[in-house]
Amino acid sequence: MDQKNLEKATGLLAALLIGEPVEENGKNAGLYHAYRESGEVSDALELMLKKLNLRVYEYEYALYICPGEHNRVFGYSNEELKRLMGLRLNRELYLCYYLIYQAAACFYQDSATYNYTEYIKLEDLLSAVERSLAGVVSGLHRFASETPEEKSFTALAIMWDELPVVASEDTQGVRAGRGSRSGFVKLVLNFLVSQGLFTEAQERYYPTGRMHALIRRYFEEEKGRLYEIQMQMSKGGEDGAAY
Amino acid sequence: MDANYQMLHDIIDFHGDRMRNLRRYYPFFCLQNTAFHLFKEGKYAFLDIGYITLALLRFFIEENQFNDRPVGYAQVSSFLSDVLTRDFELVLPKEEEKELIDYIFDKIKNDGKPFVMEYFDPEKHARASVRMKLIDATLSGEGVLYSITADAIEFYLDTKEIRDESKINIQQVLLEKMIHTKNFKGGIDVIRRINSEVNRLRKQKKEVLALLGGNVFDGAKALEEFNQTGMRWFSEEQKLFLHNMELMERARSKAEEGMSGEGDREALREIYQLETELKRAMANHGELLADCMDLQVRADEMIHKYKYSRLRGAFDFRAFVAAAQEAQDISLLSSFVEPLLLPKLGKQFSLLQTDELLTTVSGEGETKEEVGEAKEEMYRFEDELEEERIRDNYAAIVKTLLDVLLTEKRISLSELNKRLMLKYFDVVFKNSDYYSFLVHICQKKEYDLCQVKKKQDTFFEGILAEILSSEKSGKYEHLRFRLIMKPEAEEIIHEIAGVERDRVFTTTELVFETMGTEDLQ
Repeated sequence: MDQKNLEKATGLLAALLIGEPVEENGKNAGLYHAYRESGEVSDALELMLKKLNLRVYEYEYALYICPGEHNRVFGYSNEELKRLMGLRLNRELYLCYYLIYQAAACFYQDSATYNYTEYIKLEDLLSAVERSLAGVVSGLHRFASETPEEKSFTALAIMWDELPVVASEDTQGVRAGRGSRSGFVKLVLNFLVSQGLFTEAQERYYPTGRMHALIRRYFEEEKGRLYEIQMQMSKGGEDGAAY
Repeated sequence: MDANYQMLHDIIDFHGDRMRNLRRYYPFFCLQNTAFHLFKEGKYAFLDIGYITLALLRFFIEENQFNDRPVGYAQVSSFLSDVLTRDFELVLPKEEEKELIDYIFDKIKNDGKPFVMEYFDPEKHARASVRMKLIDATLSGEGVLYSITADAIEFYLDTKEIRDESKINIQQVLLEKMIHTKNFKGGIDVIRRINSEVNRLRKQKKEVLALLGGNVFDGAKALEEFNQTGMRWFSEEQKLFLHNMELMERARSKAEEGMSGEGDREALREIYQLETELKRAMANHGELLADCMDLQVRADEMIHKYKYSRLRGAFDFRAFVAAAQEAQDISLLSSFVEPLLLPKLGKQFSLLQTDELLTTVSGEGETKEEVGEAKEEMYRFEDELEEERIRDNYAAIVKTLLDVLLTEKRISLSELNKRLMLKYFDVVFKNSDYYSFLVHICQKKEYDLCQVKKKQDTFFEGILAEILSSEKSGKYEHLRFRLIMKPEAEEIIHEIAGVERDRVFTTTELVFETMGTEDLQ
């Protein structure tokens, strides 16, 4: 292999790992073009990423990486995520998972249908979550009052139902926190911005290229594996029907 | 045995249903109990929270259901303030009133949490719980908006009427009776209740649609329930409306025919009012019908779309989440979230960093930046600096010259050069200021230092004046001298260290000569 190409591939790897943008224009334009034009460079990069259990996706003339499934080095454990987001309990983390899913669902119903929503506001996400949980919340009284399992949807719905919409009537503007629904939504949106999935302008949240890339490419590519999980879940659901 | 079985069946199997119906009353009695005894040491214990709650619910029904207006904190606050002053004659300072109203409103909405009632479920032999909220909150662009829940509307209406499958029908029958008994005024109340019921159904329809948008299966279930409880009765309701309308018309014509006294006129007015109300109710009901048709169409569309999307190749997030929901394991959503995150870069402590121990110089503790009394500093520009240098150099040369002229009548430039060389060595000839000095001094033929002190014509004279003023003894002040250019230019060669001998410096020979007063022109 050409020494120069190897150098470019490692340069790409370094830039992607540090989190520098690798796009058609800008600082790393040379590296990006090398990736596009030289099969050797792209092969070498993909090989290295594969060994690190990372994935690279190209979208709208830019490259993005994300950790592969169960990546112990570059992925986050539940504990690490909780620390990162400033949460204490597992069920809070699960609620955040759900909010992240809902945030993505505001733009994509599945990996191929982008509904051309330009941006969302905090209120939009809040009402999307309320809507989606309405069924579970209204069915709550049908469940026995014994503590539901931490990771069940019932626990999630109870937690959501018991949170006030805002922490205090008099506070101007919503602040991220664990004390209210809007606080949680803000916390998650802040987190998504920090992860480069959204950009914020005047309290409007726009999805970034990285978000589109991952939703479209990752889930398209991984759908087989995820379907398997889904099938197992459905089976589990049937087994646990007595619950 | 059989009778016993029937009784047990009633006790056990229907207990859950009964408790779920009872739950509507639970918040009211909870509020009654907790009320004001703990607030401000029971200062406001005389207030009746039950009354305030019912009043507030009615206010919400008025605003949300009848006027279709959202309610914000300001409206609630002003309504409660009116209640306190009107019914309890409580006039408080603004701050205290706000505190009290906040307390009451927080209590009624239970700080945003649902009221949870626990009970024993005899079927499952376990404790079960039912939940109920009176006031719901949503966040919108204008701030937090409050609305009454469907449960709370039911509770409010239940306190005065019996609820059945179709409340609208019951009310209609009631209305019929009222028209027969000529109780038109009561009829108006009945129609208003019909209107509120229609509004409740419209609200329920919206909820069903929202559910369909979120989760098709839940939505489909809710739709079925709605069809059974709400829409099933539409045709009958419609018939009854027409029937009542007929009755109304008959009553009106009868009243118009036999109108004689003041009482009849009053009755006729009530009939008209009732008729308009009934027409409004029919229009509302018609809208509800249209809404429900629309609901059916949209629900079919949504279900169809959902079916179609399940067949496509793309990965369907909704199906994934629905499956996770069915499996009651929300942690599975991590498969969705994990790939979206940036790679985690763990930073570790490098042992090489200990080198900084040697290379970093740090004082003891942090040094404070000292901010002394700021003195305004004169900034000196480069040309000023240059001028100062020129002045110093000229002064040195001029003083040498003047000192000579104080003792001697005349001195030639070559002699002056020698003296300068003795004083400042050969560097003086390397200095460009020496040559510019010669140029400047030749600008005038004569110099009267006494005059120079008063008035300076040239830059050189300016420097001379400065020298004179700095010389405290005033020895140069009466000096007068002139410059005589020798017609024949003499070459004066100076030996300057580091300059080759073949290069020569030449100046025109000059003679500086002192003058008496008589020489002055």
